[in-house]
Amino acid sequence: MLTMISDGLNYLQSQNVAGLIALFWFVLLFDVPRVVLAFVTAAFFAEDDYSEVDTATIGRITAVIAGHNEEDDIERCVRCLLEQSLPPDEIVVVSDGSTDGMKKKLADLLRRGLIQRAHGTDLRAGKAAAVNLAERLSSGEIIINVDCDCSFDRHALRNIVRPFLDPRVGAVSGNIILRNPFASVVCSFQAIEYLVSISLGKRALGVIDQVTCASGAFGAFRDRAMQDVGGLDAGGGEDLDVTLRMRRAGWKVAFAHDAVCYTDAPASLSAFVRQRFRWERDAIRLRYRKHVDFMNPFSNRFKASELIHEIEFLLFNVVAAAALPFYVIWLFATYGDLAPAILLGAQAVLLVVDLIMFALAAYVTPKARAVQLFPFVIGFSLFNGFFMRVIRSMAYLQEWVLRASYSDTYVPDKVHLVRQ
Amino acid sequence: MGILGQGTVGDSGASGVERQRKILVAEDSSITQDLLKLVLSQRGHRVDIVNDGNEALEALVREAYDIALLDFHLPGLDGVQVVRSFLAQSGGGLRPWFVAITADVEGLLAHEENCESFDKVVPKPVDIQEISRVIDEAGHHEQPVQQPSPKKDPATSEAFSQPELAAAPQPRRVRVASALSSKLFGDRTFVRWPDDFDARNLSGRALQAKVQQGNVDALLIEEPATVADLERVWEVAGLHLYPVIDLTGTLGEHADIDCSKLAANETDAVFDLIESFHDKRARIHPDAARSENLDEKILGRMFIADAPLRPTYDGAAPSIVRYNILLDGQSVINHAAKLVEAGFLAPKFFDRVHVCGGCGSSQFNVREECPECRSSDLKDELYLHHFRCAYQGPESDFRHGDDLVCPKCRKELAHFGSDYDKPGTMIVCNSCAHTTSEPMVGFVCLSCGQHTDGDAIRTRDISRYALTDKATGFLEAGNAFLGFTQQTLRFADLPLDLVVALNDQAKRFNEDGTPFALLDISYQNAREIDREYGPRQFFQLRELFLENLRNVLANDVATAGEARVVKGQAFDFAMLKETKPDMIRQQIGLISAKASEPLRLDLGVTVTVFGPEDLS
Repeated sequence: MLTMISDGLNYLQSQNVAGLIALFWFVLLFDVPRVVLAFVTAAFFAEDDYSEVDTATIGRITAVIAGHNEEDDIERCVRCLLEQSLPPDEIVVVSDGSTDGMKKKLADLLRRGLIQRAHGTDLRAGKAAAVNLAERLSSGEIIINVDCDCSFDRHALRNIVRPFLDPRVGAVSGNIILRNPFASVVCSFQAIEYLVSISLGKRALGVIDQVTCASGAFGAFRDRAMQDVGGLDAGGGEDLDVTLRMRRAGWKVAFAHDAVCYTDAPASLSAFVRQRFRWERDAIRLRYRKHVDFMNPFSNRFKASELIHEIEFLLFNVVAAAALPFYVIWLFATYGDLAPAILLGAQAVLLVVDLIMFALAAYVTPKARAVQLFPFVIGFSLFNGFFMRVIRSMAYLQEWVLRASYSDTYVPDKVHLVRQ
Repeated sequence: MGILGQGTVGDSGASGVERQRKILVAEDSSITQDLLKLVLSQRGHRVDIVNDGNEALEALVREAYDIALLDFHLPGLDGVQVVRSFLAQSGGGLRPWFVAITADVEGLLAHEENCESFDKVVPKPVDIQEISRVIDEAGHHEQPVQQPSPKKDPATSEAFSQPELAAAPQPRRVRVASALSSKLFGDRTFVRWPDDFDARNLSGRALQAKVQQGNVDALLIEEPATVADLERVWEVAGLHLYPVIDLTGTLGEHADIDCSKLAANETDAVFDLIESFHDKRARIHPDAARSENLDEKILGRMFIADAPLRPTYDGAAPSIVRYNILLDGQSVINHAAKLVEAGFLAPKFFDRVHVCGGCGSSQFNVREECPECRSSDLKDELYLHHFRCAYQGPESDFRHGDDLVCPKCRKELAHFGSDYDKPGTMIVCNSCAHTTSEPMVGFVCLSCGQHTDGDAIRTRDISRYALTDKATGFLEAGNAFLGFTQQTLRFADLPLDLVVALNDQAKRFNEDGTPFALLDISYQNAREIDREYGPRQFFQLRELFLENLRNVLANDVATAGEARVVKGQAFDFAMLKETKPDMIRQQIGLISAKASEPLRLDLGVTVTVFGPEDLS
C-alpha cells in the first residue's frame, strides 16, 4: 500500500501542468470555482451597518411562529424576540394541531400580553398551512418567520428588516449560525458547512443577486410579496419554494449577513443524514419537478436572470455529486494502482480550497467564533468532498426514482396524498 | 358637691362641657330621689327635689326650670295635672321640658291629653343612662311654650307633637293579615309594621317608650315591606332585639320567621321564637342592649337571635346576598368587616363574588368578548384547510353557492378528508371582523353599566359571620369586659343600693374627710369556667368567694368601719367605710389570695381599689 502511494506521488511529481489538469479536472471544475467566486464577490461585501432602521418607511413588523408541540420552547422564543433591539410590533403564534399543552400555553402568553395573536388548530396541517394561517392573523407589512427552536442575536430583527428599505426586496434571508458547534464531530462539520455555504456562500450570491432561499428558520417577507404569490404552498422546502416564486414574480431576495440566528444542528450522524436527505429531495423536487419550466426557454415562466442560480445549483450540487463516482471509476480504470495517490492529491487540493474558504468565511463572520473549528477543517474536507456528495447523489436518485419527498413526515399524510 | 366627677357615670356619649341646667325632680321615692340627684348634680346640673305634686307645681311657678322630671303617680296632684295646671297658670311664656317617669307607659299613653302634656316619657325603674340621654336631648329642644292646640281628630291624637299631620287624617286600612294575626297572637303585644311606624299613629317617642317599657313580644310585619322600609327598627333603641315575625313573606331570610309559609298548626314555632328571644334578652348586658352604635346593635341582635349572620343569594340585591338580619347585604358586609377587624366576628368563607369598581355592585353580565373592540357579538366559524395548496381560512372564503372553491388555487374542494378538512374553529367578531381563538371575558355592571375586563375585575369574599368569644363576653358583661382591670369606675355597673351608699360616704368625706375605699372585683377566668364547668359552677364559686371575702374583711383586716360586700352583674364590689384606700391597696393581694384559697378553681380574681379622690 505504502509503495503504491509513493509510486503515485512520484508519478504526480513527474507531471506537467497539462497533465495535472487532466488528472484533477474534477476538483478544478467543481471546487476551485467556488473559491474564485467567493473572492471575487468578497471585494463587494458590504460593511456591517450599525445604524437604526427607519421603521416608519418599512412598516409594521410581525413575528410569526408556527409550531407543533412546542409547549416548552415557545415562551423562551417569544421572550428572545421581545429582547431584540428592534422588537416586533406584533407576535403571532399558531399551534399546528399540538397534542401537548401548547394551546393552553398560548392562551397564557396572550393573557400576559407577551404575544398579540394566537390560534391553536385541532388537527395538524403542516408547517406551510400553519404559517399561512398565522400570516392571515397578522397585521404587519413585514412578516418574519421564526422557528421555535431558534434564538437571536440582539440586533437580528433590526438587521433583517433593513434590506426592505429597498422597495424591490420581497424577502430577506437571515444568517444562521450553529448554537452547538461542539456537540459532536458531525456538529462541528455542520458548523463549518453553515459558515461556508450560508455565511459566506449566500453572502457571495447576495452580491450577484442570486439568493434563492429565505430560510424558514429565520426569514423575512414583505406581506405584499407574499400575497403576490399566494402564500406558502404545501409540502417540504416551502421556504425555497416561496422564494423561487417571489423571484419569478420579480421581487428581489436579499441576504442579511448581520441578522444572526442561532439554531441547533442534529448531533447524531443518522439524524443528520435523515435531515439532508429531506432537504436535498425537496430541492430536487422543487427545482426539477415543480418549477422545471423556470429553466425552459420556451416556457412563459422562463426568466433569464434566474439561469445563473439554476446553473450554479445544477453544476455544483447535482453534477458534482453525480460525477464523483464516474471520476473515481475513471481514475481506477485509467491509472490502476496510481489512483489512490491521485485521489489523495485531489483531496490535498480540496483541503487547500476548503481552508481558504473557511478562513474567508471566518473572517467575514466574526460572530461565529470559528477559530476553534480550524482543526476540524481537515475532516470536513473529506466529509464535504466525498461523504456529502454521496448523500446528495443517493437523495437525488431516491427522489427522482421513488419520489420519496412525498412521504416525508415533515408534512402530514393527508397533504402528501394530493400534493403535486 | 362634685365628688363624682363628670365622665364617671356611664358612657352614654355625653361628653365635653355641658350647659348647666336647672332641673326639678318630683318623685316620692327617696331612693330614686337620691339617685337622680347624685347623677344629675355630678353632671353639673342644678337639681331641686320635691316630694309631691303640689310642691312641684309651686316650684314650677316660683322658678324657671329647664327640665321637669315628674313621676306620673305623685301624691297630691299627679304628673299630668301638674303640667296642665302649670300651663293654665303660665299662659304663654317659657315652659320647661316635661319628662314623665312612670312604670305604666301604656297607661300614660292611653290618654290623649297625657301625650300632649309630656315631651318625653321615661319608663320605671329609672335607668341612669336613659335619664342622661333625655336631659341631653332636652338641650337640643329649647323651645318656647307651645300651647297644645286642641285636637280635632281623635284617631290621630296619639301623636305627641305633630299637629300639622293631625290636619290630614287618613282612614285606617283594614287588612286580612292583621285580622289573622290578632286571632293568632291575641294575647301578645307587638310593635306592628306599618301601623306603629306611621307617625300619625304613634310618634317615634311613643314607639321608643313602648319598646322600653319592656312588655313587647315581637315586631310584626303586617304588610309587604322591604329592608329599607324597616330602617327605623335600628333607630328605636332596643327594637332590634325583638324577633321579626313576617306575615307577608316578603322579607324572606331577613325575618326571623315567615308566617306566610307556616301551617296553621305550627304557630307554636312563633311562640317558641318569642320565648327564646325573651330568654336571651335577659342575658344581654345593658351596655350592649342600649348601645346606639350600629355595630354593637348588630352584635346584640346576633346574640339574641342566637344565630350567625348567614348569607343567602339574592339576585335583586346589588351585593347579590342577603343576610338573616334587617339590613341590606352591603351594610352587613361593611359593618361585619369592621367587627371582624375588631375581633368580634369570625368569618367563614361562603363564596367569592365580583365587585364593580364603579358602584360596588355585584350584579354583572359576564360575557365573552372580542379582545379588540370588546363587543360580545361573536360567532364561531369553522375554517378549512386545503391540503393541496396549504390555504387555511374560514369556510366563507371558500363558499361559492353550494360549492367550495379554494380562493388561492381556484381548485374545487370536493372530497372532505382527501381535499380538505376542518382543523378547528375561529371566533370572528361581527362588529370589527377581528378573528381570535381566545375570546376575552368581560364584566358589564348591571347597575352602573361600567365595563371591566375579566383580568382586572375585583373580587370580594362573602362570609358567614359568627360571634367570637370576645363578642359574647362583651354582650354578657358589657363594656367592662373589654378592659378587665378598669381604672375608672363606671356607675352604670354599680348596683343601685351601692350608689346610695357611695353617695352617703362621699357626703361624709366632703363634710369631715372620713375616708372610704371601694373595691371593684372582677373574675378573669369567668368565661373559661363557664365554658368548662357550666354557669352554675361559676355562680357557686363566686358566691363562695364573696362569702370568704366577707369573712376575711371582717376578721383579718384592721378596718375601723364596717365592710359591705355587694354582688353586681358582671362585677362585685365591696364598700369599706372609714378605711384609707392606700392601706387596703397594700393588703389587697393577701386579702384576695386568702379569700380565694379554699376555692376548687381559680376565678382569676382581680381587685381594683378606689378611694374618694378617684371619684372626684
